[in-house]
Amino acid sequence: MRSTVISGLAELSAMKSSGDVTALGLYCQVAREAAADAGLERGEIDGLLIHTPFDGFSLYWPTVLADTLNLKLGFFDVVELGGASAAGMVWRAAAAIEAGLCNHVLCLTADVFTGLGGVRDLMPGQRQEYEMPYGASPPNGYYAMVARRHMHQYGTRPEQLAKIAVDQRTNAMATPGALFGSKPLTIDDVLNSPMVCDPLHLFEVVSPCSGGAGVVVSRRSAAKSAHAPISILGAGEAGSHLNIARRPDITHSWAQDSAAKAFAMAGLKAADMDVAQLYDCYTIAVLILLEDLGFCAKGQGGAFVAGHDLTWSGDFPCNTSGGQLSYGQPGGAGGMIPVVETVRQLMGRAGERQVLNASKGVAHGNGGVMADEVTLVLAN
Amino acid sequence: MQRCQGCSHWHWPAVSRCSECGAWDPPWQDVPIEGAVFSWATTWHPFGGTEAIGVPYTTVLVALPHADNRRLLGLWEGEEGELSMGAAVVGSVGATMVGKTEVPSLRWRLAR
Ligand SMILES: [Zn+2]
Repeated sequence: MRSTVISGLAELSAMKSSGDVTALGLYCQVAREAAADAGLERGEIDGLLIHTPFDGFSLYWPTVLADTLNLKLGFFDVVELGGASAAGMVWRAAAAIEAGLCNHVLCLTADVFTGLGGVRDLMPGQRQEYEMPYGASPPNGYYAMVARRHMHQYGTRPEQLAKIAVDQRTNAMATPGALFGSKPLTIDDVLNSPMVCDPLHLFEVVSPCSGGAGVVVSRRSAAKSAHAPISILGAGEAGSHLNIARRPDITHSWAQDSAAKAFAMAGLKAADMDVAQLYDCYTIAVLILLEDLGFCAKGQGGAFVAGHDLTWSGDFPCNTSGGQLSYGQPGGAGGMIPVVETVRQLMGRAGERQVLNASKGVAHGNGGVMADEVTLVLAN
Repeated sequence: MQRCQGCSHWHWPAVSRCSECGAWDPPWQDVPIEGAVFSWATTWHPFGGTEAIGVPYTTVLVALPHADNRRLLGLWEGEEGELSMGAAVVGSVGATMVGKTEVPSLRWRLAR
């Protein structure tokens, strides 16, 4: 993928409500902002990847958006890997460009939060029939079971998980547009927040909201951005079951496989990364990804987060825009946060929270209950 | 539970064709509803679809030794304090309202 780059980005502020604006409206806004950021005119965009928004499933979604924006496309598709969709778009766009299908691909995510009912109705039948009667249809229950198992097998402590939320909150306070960027958190605040699904507390669980984000993947020779383009050094994707509960050991995820592929392609390892942006629907997801991507050994995630400063100015900058836990989870756009923030840091555009000398970063998306995993290794 | 006639693989949820060897319509086999606790979670704030179950409720994941340790979900009928990893449990079939539909569901309690 060395002949392709990420040439632009856009990210809307997280909103509790988008008012009358639909996901289609947010998609259009993100598309215009991302194209402008990449220095591209409408006629130069010839690729489009999106995910299915919650507020209105329809066939031909990419065509609907192309029609609305008056785009003439040579490559368009839906990427549906839950929270891994955004990261999954990036390498698909790069592959399409390398195959000669197009030059500039908009990779876009947007969602408006319309209540959990809409989300539920889009869930696979297996979940509705086999999991909901046990109260476990929601991801909450499964991530809580993973957390309890991790605590049992490795002695991971609630305050170690809570520290992830605390450090990410500090990052959000330096991030314009974050939904929870005004008030700091302490470990006690997290542990004293209401139990949502024991052992996970309220501040360890993402808050759904509305928003949108995207990047532009371009042929390197055609990139026009005023910003230094970002190289895609490696990509890996892995998964097989809808649910991690089917794995022999639920404290390991397919992220081990996606990360191994991505780092091997890049010729780098986890320790070479200057920033890590890891999908964080729950604190336990971050902990498992830290282990599975190779930042520490399996079972050492608790000690790792306790022993490192995960803030933007710390010794291990992680989820430097606050992640979904503190920026907010705008549906499918939540999965774009790791991608956009990695690109922003590597372009040197992170403002107050800029990580000094950041040249390499990993962005990781996770869909389902640690089910669909996509790792991207990026560099400036 | 379904057990494949071709390769002996246990299936849950039910399938019309074995994902391992491709055999059609794996037959059903009676399995004692007993096993060991693999993990559990107690919901205080439901996510949606589970409103009929009053909070807090505990969902357990139980490994079935009589079915190659395949894991089944179920609702916990005892006190949460009774739960521990590996605890021996027995189950029964109850029912849960999901929306307007009554769906059969497993209930687990400590084996005595
Ligand atoms: Zn079989």
